[in-house]
Amino acid sequence: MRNRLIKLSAVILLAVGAIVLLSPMNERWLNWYLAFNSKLLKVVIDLARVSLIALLIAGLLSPFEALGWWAGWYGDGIETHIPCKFPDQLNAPASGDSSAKQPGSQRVSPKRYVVYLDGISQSCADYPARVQNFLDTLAAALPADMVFIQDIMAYSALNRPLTIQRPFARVWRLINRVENWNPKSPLDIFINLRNTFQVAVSTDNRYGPVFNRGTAQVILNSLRQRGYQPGVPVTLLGYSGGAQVALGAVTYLKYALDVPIEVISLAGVVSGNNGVSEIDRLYHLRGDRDLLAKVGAVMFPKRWPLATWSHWNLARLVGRVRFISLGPVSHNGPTGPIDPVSQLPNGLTHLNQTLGIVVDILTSARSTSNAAKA
Amino acid sequence: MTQLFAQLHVTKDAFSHFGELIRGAIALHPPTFQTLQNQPNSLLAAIAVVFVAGLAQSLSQIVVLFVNQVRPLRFVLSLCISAIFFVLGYCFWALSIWTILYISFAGYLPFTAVVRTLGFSYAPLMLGVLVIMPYFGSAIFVILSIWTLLAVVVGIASITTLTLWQAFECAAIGWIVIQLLQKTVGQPIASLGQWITNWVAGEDLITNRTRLAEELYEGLRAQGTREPMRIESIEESVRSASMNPRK
Repeated sequence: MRNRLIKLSAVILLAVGAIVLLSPMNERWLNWYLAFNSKLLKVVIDLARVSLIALLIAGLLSPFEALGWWAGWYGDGIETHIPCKFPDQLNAPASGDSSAKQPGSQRVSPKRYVVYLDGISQSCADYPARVQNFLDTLAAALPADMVFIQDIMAYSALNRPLTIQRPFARVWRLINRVENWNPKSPLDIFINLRNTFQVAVSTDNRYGPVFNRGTAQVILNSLRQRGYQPGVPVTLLGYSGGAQVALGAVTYLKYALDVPIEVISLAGVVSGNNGVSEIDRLYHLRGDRDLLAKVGAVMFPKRWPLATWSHWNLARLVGRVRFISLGPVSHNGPTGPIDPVSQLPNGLTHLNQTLGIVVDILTSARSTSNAAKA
Repeated sequence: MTQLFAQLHVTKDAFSHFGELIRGAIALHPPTFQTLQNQPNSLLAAIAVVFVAGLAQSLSQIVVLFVNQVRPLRFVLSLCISAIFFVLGYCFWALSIWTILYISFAGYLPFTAVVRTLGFSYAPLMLGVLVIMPYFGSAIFVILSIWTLLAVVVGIASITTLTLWQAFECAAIGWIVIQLLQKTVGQPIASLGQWITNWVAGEDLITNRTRLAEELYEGLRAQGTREPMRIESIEESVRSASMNPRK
């Protein structure tokens, strides 16, 4: 009761603050730049305003993909196929399956399925070179009895890449081309923003259930395509916003599969709103220089230590959320956790350290589930 | 200055400077509410404000329509019906406030004055479309609701001799009366409203939060235990692409 009162008071204070700030109708402080009489400044401010309005519209439209999917407005339902990369692999039943990559090896029945959900820079199944290198190395390092699935569009309940069958597909393709030509181009911010809104949809109390149901469906379809047999445990590996998508989907996956489900959050930005109560274990890998992951911890009230009643804090208390420090590592890029060049003070590359931790978690989870079966 | 402002606008049609009036109401500017009273078409303009506010407000409930899988045309009609009900609710609140003003506080005041003032007080809710925003939408809704309440209080205070606190008491008592009536003698009207809403939506809408959540689990358990997909069936499903879990 006291906590609810505190929350209510905080919201009311915030509301009154916003009203006080905005109510004089801003004429004066919105037009402050006119005092400088500079055309350049005016153009910059106008551009900023247009961008803000575009951002606002993008935000307002963001929940409709998932909601429209559930309502059946798009007719087609879930895409089970990603033409961006996948067609040539359709003949291989377990593409990405580490066991299938070993020539001459006998097929073993899978003991665990590992599903990768990419970060917010994902626009199609063609991952950036750094991510692809991480995935390839991880797939090679995984035991033969683990199936690694890595072709899921984490930010679409339709499992549809940004680059096809969308009104702005051409724009996204253009951005991808520019990015391929010049990886330092700032255009990828548009993809990041678009996907950030989808992460916000996943955390939202109203839209989250529908979006998360959609991504759970996409994962389920993918598992079935790879020959999933009931009873096999699943690990979701989410990078950045992919960790939130993974946590969101857990509730529905757990209900559908009724198997142990673990989540590995790699530099994850997670709300702690959903999925945490259903999860068997969450491994939260975070670099000390990862500002985004820190912002996530501040932005979501359920993760504040004050919110002792939240699922997140209760899960932490019983040890179901395990924090693993990656040392002086940032969120992404050349200083991020999957960079193959940057080295830590102990001589390991960022990539090797992350791989080591992820493989350790996966193999220890395997031995735990084997022991439980025995 | 206030008188000058009032004189300037007294003969203008309310729709001809609709935007200005809206901005004034959103800015909680008392002279705006005073000038409204003598302007042609201001009553209609006030109802238009409430209808737009109702339409924006109904957007906060779109999840219910989506989860119930309402088709696009019926979806738009449902929003319109919801906005019309919102206007009706506003009329009842105006009546309630007018009655309380008449009985206890300010003596006689034309009912239309309350309708005009209350209508334009709903102007902040016209920004209700922002409530759709993921994650921040709920907080925006709270902010807009409090903002609207402040506009109602300022509006009532500016057309009467009441202090701000008395105006607040008046609005609050009026609201409580409406709530009590809704829960008692208003039940048949509420049932009729629900029937109309269902009729427009084309199905019995599930509005209960728990039941809405349960809807999303439909068919999931069966999928988890289903046989794995064969390669031919994958390609088949790619072609037919009809994997909506509820179809």
